[in-house]
Amino acid sequence: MTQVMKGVRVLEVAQFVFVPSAGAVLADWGADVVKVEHPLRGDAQRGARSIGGMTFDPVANPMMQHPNRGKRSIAIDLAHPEGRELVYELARDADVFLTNYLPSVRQKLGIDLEHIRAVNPKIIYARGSGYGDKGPDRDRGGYDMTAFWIHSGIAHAMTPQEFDVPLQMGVGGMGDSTAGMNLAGGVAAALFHRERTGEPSEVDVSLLSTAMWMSGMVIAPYLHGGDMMRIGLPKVGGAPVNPFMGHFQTSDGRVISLFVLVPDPVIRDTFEHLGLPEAANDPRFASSAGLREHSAEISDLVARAFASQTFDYWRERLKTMKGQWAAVQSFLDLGGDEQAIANDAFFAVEPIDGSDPVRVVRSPVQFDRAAIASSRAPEHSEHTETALLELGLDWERIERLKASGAIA
Amino acid sequence: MTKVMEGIRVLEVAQFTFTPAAGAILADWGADIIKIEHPVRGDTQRGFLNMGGVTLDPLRHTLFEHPNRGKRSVGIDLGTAEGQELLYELAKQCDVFLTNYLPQVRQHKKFDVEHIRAANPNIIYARGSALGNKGPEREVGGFDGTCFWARSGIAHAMTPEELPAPLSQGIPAFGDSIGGMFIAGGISAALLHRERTGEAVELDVSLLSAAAWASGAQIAQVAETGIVARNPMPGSGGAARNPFMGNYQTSDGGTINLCTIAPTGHIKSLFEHLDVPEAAEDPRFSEPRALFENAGAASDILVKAFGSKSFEYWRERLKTFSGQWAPVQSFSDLLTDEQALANDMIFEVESADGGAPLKLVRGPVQFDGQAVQTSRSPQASEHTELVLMEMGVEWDRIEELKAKGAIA
Repeated sequence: MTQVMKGVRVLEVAQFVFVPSAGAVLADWGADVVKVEHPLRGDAQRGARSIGGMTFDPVANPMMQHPNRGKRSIAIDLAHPEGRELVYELARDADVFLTNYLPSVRQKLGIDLEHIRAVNPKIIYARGSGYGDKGPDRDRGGYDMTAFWIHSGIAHAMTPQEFDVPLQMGVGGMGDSTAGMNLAGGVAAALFHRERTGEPSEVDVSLLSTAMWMSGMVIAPYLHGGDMMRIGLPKVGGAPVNPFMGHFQTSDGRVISLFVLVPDPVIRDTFEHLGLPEAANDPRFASSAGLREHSAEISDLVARAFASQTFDYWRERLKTMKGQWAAVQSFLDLGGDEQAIANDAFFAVEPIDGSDPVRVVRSPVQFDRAAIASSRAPEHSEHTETALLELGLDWERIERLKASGAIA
Repeated sequence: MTKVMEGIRVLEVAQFTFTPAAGAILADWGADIIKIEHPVRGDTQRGFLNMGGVTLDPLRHTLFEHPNRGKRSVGIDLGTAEGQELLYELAKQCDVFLTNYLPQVRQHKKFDVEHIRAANPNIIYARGSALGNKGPEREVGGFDGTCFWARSGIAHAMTPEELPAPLSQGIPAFGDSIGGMFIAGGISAALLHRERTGEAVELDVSLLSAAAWASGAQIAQVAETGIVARNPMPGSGGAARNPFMGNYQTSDGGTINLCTIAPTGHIKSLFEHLDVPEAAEDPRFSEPRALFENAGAASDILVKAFGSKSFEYWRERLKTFSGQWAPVQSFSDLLTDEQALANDMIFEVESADGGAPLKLVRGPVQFDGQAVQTSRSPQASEHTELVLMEMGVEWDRIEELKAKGAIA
């Protein structure tokens, strides 16, 4: 595969999902990402092993694999003077410093912009934060469930207005992974800029800025009009203005959604695919005005048609339909989605204990149509010695640092 | 501001939001985006003037501004041989070709990768698609409501199983804007790669690959366990086990979300902020294990406390609370959010009608802590003559092409 980040060295001092997932994208693209972890505690994400009643084995933990595949881990205690010195030595050799530690912690540990730039004036300094690196909340931490989902207005907009309180985010790590990819894109642009002008940039992405960008299309008109659209509780059946818009249940209780926004050119094609040739020939239904006028009757016909066959039947049958539609898949369905697999949506990593491979989702950009070739997330401190030997330390110093507790 | 894409020229042959939004990000970052539109019809997005009951003025078209600010528009009919020839001349002087036309249309109108690369072998060819550039459905179009939201499994995961049909994507263009930023990040990496190696790559982002990445943390777990968690129905009060997680209603019907996953160290702070300091001394709540065992009683205290004061009161009061929380804001609240404004998340462009400026959301990445400076989106074909003259096309030929209807 084309490794667009080959030769780029990233020093990551980050935990949890958001900023590590930026490192994972850069690793997917070929960068050498060295992850600095605390000698004893490691990335706090390593402790996140339970979700939805499931508990994972630490060596095959998919919650650790997703944001950390393809990296190397080096254990350094940043609070130890010799550990800090070592991070500076690593920074001297790196192109990018990637962190999500809070500003007050960066200051305390001596890894803020001025400290890192003092040892390497050309390094790109990339920060992920909850609410941005400026303003009254710059030192306030945040999760994607708070800064991205609730604070941003997304939860409010996504929750049917009939509910008094908001829905939860529903998809674990959604804000984190999205923001991580945004940060990786920003780092790529900054590297390009440095390559051409010699100037290194600071790069900031926050969970809030990520949420706002995704909602930017409607934030602008809502502000302009002073009003906003709220969704209602979902209903089964076609919309009153257009029976080709709506959710329909199949005989096995699954859902197919029709999104035929502009029905006129495809009325016949739609009815025929739904196995309703007599409706296709009914002159009352021949235009979008007719569909609207008889929407209740048509919605019933369409609902009955969908209810007569299975989800799999319709998924296959509608493939040639011209209007827009979608099968409401679950993430389990996605795992077997032929089209997703044909586009290399997943790749497998090998756990260190030789157990079955873990499937992870590739990052969203594909270069030269090639699948990603990467490896598993590192075990805690797995590469301390190799990374330090590469940096030019001799064994004696490594031993001494180990004995002092500065590294592990 | 630091314009990391200064000097880069992008040729955009794209419509709607997803792929144009990638062009908007690159324009925010300083690239020169030449947007090719049909001489008569223009980008279909220009026709979307209604949303959620609000009708927009075409000269103050915020739905068009979000994905097109900062570009120049050139009207060329790519259905004519002269128009195609002109496109190749432009492509010779561009760094990136950006498109979301379907493969069969790219072939028919001769601007697929082989045609564009024949004119400029060093151009980066970037495609946005619904479901990927490979596989049985590569020629199928799609919206974010279908491919990003329903097909991917996001709608299924977001929707509580008690509801009969999936929630709609409550924020129009949510998936489009995410996907657009991902393309812009991929292009940045491709430009870096070309700068360092001389190799120009093709790149692909689909609405489905964007959704899969955004959900990747959860999909990795599903792939491992075969179990898909669904979003619970929203409810007031604390979680069954941890009262420091949950939604609490204020006296005026607003909601404060507490998301203090690990209450250790935050118990005293929360009860003090809620003006019930004595609760922190109560042995039922004073340490996490007891707090979990008495979650119902603690939740009752919190419900009563939050219910006694207004949303604004709590938004201000909790600023010094040490644990994680967020006010459930709407997009209108966000526009006056001090922290969002301090991080320059909203910026203004002048409007085409000379009236008050339009407010837009900046891209999620900030370079060197600086605000974005860019201009409004172009009127259809606003820059045809200017761009063609810059590209070395003579007036006589411009006149002749206009007369033939190949340009406008």
